[in-house]
Amino acid sequence: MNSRCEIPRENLSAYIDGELNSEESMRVEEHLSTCPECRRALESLRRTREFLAGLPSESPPEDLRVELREAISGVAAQDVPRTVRGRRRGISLAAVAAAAALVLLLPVAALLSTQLMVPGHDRLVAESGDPLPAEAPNDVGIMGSPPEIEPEGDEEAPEETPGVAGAGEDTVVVRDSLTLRAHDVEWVSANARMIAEEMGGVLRKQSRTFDSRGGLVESILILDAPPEVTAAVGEGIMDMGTLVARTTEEGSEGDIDGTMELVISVERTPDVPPIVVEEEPAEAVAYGSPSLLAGEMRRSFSGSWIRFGAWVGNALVWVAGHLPHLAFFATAFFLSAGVVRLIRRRGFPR
Amino acid sequence: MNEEQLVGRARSGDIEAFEALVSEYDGRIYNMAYRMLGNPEDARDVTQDAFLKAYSSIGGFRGDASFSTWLYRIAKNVCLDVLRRRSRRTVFSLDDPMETEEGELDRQLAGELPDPEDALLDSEVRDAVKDAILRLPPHHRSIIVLRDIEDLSYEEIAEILEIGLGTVKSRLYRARSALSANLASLELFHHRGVGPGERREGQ
Repeated sequence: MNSRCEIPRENLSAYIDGELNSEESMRVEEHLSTCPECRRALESLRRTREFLAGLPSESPPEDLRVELREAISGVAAQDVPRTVRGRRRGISLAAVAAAAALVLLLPVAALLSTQLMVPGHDRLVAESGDPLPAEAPNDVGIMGSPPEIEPEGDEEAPEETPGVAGAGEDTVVVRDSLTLRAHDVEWVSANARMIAEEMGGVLRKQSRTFDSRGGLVESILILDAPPEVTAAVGEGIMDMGTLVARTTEEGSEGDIDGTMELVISVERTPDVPPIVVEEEPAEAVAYGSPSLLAGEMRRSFSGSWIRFGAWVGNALVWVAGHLPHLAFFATAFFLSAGVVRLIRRRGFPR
Repeated sequence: MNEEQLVGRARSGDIEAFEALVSEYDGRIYNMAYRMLGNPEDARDVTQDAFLKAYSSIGGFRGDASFSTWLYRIAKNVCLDVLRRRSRRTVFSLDDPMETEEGELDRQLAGELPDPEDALLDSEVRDAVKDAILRLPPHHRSIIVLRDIEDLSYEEIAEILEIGLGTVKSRLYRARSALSANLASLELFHHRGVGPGERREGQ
């Protein structure tokens, strides 16, 4: 249907909104005069918009503003906005104390985490199952394949190791790895699929991996996707809010027709235990998805983490002998930092 | 005092300035949240949450976009968070056939919707339209709400959703098509002969 019309259908809706330039508008008008089908479509879009315009504007309940005012003063009382505090007081004592405590705590925490790290550490991964290596999801179970799979002759892509780009001549396998929490996997992958299919991408295969308790650990979508679909899925998924940080570069600019492989997975215990990292950034990222950012940091810093790991290893030998003392000092520092902060926040009694 | 000055003051910790901004925008944010989520309780929570987030992160607002765009973006994210949390309770079925396949949309568009003026948006129709919006997937819902309820320009929408203008255009078209399909399939309009039964025929 679309193919018969020389104007893109989406221009009809932009035309109603007055968001086309004059040349485009003219083309739409010209086309409308000859195409009854598009006239009907335009009318339908127009009515849809009128229905929406007919909805009354919902006004907030009267007490909401009061409540908001109180909530804001509540927040304000205990927390001056950060920039202001920084400017007024410079680097705070508490920050220095906390940093010192952290430096001391780090090796201890490292030691503890290597000692205590058990397979069940990541609650989302099966107790016994070794975590799936991030780069080779070949061993996933195919749990459900949708009705509209269209096997064609030369399709090898799903079988190939989906490394970044370059599976066959015409096939580009794009990997977008997103790191999410378990319950989000289903939601994001359903949405990703919706966006892709709506744009004419074809879902060729979907596999889901569960842990031993039946939690969804990973969902892989393999899509036959024209380039703009690849981009749209990337964008669309980002649009799921704070869920997802960034898709990989290859993912957002697929410039060749091909296959998109979308791996949506929960955060897993990484192969090389990057020790402290997982716990550390949790505080730093108040807004957004901690698990995701943690994942990103791990990726980009993995090189230095290995070096860091070696350093920690050496430190550990020394630390092991001094563990009780260190733990004591660290705790003391942490406590003092807390007290300093508390005083600062509440203020000295005048 | 204009908005820029208010924002400047709010950034340096002036609560009254921030409250002035709240009074300016709380209606719009509430309305958006209400249309995104469908009930006053969630709309209320989202509005409050969004403004609190805005307050605590206004130091990071650098004025690249307008304040309203920035605020809408925060509110949109909060809405999506709520939807996501909800989705944990009602699980998507991945094996359901898509409701919005291209062919179906096109067929739907060629069909007849009743004239909105005939239908005279009475409360029954309003509820039906509201439900039709709520049946859209999140990315469609947010773009429809921003454009057709909040009346924002394509450019503003692009900034709020952090997508390109081209994507705004195409997504909006798809969202409206899907909505028109939803509207047409509602009980309300069955007598016009566009019930869901007929839509499925061709599959």
